[in-house]
Amino acid sequence: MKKAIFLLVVIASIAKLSFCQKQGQEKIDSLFTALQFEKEDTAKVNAFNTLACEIAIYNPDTAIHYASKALALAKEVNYEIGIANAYNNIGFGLSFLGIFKEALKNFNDALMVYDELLISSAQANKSKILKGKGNVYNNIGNVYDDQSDYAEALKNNFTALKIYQEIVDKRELAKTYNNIGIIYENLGDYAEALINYFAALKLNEELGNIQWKVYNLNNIGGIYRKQGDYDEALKNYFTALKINEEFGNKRETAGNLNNIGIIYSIQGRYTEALDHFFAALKINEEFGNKLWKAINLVNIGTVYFNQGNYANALENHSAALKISEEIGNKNRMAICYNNIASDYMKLKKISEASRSLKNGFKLAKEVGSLSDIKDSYLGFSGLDSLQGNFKQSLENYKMYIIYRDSLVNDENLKKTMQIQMQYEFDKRESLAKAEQEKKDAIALEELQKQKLIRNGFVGGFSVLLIFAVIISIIMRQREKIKLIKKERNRISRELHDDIGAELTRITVISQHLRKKTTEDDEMYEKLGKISEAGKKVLGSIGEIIWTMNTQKNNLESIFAYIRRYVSEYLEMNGIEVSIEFPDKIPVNSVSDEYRRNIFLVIKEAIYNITKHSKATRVRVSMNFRKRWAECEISDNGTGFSVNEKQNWGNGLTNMNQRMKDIGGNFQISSDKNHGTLIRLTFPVR
Amino acid sequence: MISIAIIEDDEDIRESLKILIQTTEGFECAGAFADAETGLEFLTGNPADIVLMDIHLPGMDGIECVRRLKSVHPEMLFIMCTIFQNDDSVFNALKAGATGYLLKNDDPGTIIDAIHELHAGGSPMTPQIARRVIESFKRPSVNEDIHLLTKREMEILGFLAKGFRYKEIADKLFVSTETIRKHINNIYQKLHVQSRTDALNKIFGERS
Repeated sequence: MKKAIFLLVVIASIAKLSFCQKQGQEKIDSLFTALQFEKEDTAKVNAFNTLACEIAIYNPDTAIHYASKALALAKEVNYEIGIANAYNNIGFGLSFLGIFKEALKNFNDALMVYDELLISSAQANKSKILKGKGNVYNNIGNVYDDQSDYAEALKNNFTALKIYQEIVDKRELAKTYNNIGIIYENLGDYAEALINYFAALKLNEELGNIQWKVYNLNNIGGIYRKQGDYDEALKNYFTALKINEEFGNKRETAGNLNNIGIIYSIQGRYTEALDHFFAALKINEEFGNKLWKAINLVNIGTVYFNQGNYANALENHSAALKISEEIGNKNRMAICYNNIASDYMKLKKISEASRSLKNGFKLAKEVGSLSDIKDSYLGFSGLDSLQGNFKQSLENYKMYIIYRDSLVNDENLKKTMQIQMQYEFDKRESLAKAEQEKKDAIALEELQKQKLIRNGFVGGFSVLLIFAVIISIIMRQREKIKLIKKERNRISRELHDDIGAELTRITVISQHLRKKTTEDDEMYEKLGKISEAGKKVLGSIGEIIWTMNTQKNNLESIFAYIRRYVSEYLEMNGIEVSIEFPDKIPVNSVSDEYRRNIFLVIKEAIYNITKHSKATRVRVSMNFRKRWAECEISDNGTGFSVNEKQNWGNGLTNMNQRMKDIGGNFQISSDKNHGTLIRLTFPVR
Repeated sequence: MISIAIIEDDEDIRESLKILIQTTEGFECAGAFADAETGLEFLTGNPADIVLMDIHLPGMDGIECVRRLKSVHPEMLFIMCTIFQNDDSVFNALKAGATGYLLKNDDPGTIIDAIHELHAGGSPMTPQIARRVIESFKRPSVNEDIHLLTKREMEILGFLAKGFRYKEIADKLFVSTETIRKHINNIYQKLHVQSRTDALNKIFGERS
């Protein structure tokens, strides 16, 4: 039976930030006290609103209850800002319960009240009202995002962003950037998503908002995960988890647990993955968070799938689908359908699988989610192949590749790197700037008291400047090395792709023609020479590519390559060889030049032996001391007089120079009819 | 009779391989194709014993083609045709299901030997490939107990990674070269199984 290999997708639980409306920063206990003893009705309204806001994400039902009380009371005393805030908070609670239509209605009511207030209120109060408006827009954006209407979500979030920029509210800006990032992530535009996440992270760092950094870290980790950079992803997740545990954020911990579970699944540590997912599920059930519950269920199902437990997989995926349907989240529904389809395929229920795939595909197209469309195509391809419909399977597979490549292409990856670098740079720069400002301030103060100290600071500053110059030189140097490496890669690629391919054609065609001629034909010999020459050049190009390869530079791999090269080359030339390398060769990494020079010197030595010495036996040995390595190549050939200048052609001179270049030493001793011994010594760093 | 198919986009190389196979006793040419898609479609319905597969092809590449054919016909053998021995793609092809490779510019005799050898269950391996095989088995595996390499296999890989040749290893371990070849063939089988489970395991990752 053919295997249908089908990829499933799971969305990492993405942390969305909430925008409810509260006044003041009181703790919940003191709020209850306020409600009991406060005489002012407006103060009571504020207390109810703040209370609703504080508990909304943990207990949306109760939050709506308090916000409704605030609304009723505020209407009674005609306290307009209280009314607007209450509408927003009711909407906020409703959106958490997945009652989106009602939520939107409340948000619109809030906007209307805010707009009226803007006209009537004094200039001083306007920024407060604008902030409220921004919050409502963000909340509306979230509702659309939850329903997978990304265009509408972006529109609202950008409106909010504009408002916060106007009133320069960095806290809210940070949250908004985060939410915009989420939408781009959902749309599969990872580069744009990262830009926004890093913008949020930067603002939160500026503000010292450690807790909010958690959201950004989680989301950044998610992007890295999607791009396959699991180490970077885990790094971000663990930082986030640590902060959450430190602050006792139980609900957010659920998100982290889920994300870490995902990485464990990728790494095949299923038991640990399941532990984390179930822990997350428990917390989300506790808080009645349907959206996240669905995500946990999908993940649990998928781990079961990976373990080959398809019945359990189907059960969990179906439960997730049910919840996603309840809250009308089409994106999640598409993911669930795709997963369910693959479960059915494994259970050999073809018609059920086909139905689920079609449902998933329809939904994925509807919400325009590239990543889900991609998975649908892969599913179709697998299904076709199960039914023996290979041509159609291939077509669907091609579509899958097209969508996959459009999601993770080089351009995206490049952009990701640039953004990260920009962020690191900005961070360092702003740190340096803050440091500088602080120093300047102190210097100014001290200046008035004592001029001498100023000189000290000037001195300190110059030291800093010198450091800066040195660092910039180092950076430039690094840039140069990078460019050289890039150029080298380009050359070796061209050698490989163009020259190598054409030379191969020449060689193969001449071999082919040679077979058609007979041995007494003069063409026979000539064609043989062409193909031999072609093979020789191809061999040399292969070696050049190997020596230019900038990756695996360590002594162990060099000597493995040399060992194989020497023994094959000498055997081909009918020379007996004994190679004595130590069992353990240090794995020190070495430079390209080092590797190239050692290889080329040994190659030259072997070449000379086959060419000139008439040797029948060669011995190559290696010894590693603490800081030095010693390589000896000896043969039983005719030898030559080392002292005669004419015997030092380019070959020997070059060998000598190459060893010198890497701080080594080249010795040769030979006598007529007593063979030749070459001893190379070079540093081991 | 060993039936051999060729997938190679260069017409000259394809034709000369075809003629080489047609004129060699014991070989028959099951078909010669200029791209992976046509080859895939034909071979899915008409499996051959051995496929000579170019790595770089227009459209679907040879590696993907091997992966797909191998999942339909696990018994089919694949020899990758490459220009240079140290090509990184060779390792990826081996992971996808190939068990051998040959240089396109090899002498006709060498090519025929390589096909015979593969058919008899032998496989070539360079130090670079050996090193990468070791690395790929070091990573956490999906089903730990099933696809691990045996001590002997690890030992052989270790020698190969150090640049030892089959004959040298056989001498060191007091076995025949034939045994070493069989071991290496087994290692390749395990590599395929491992990379297949890896593929399933990427479920969450969306890595391209």
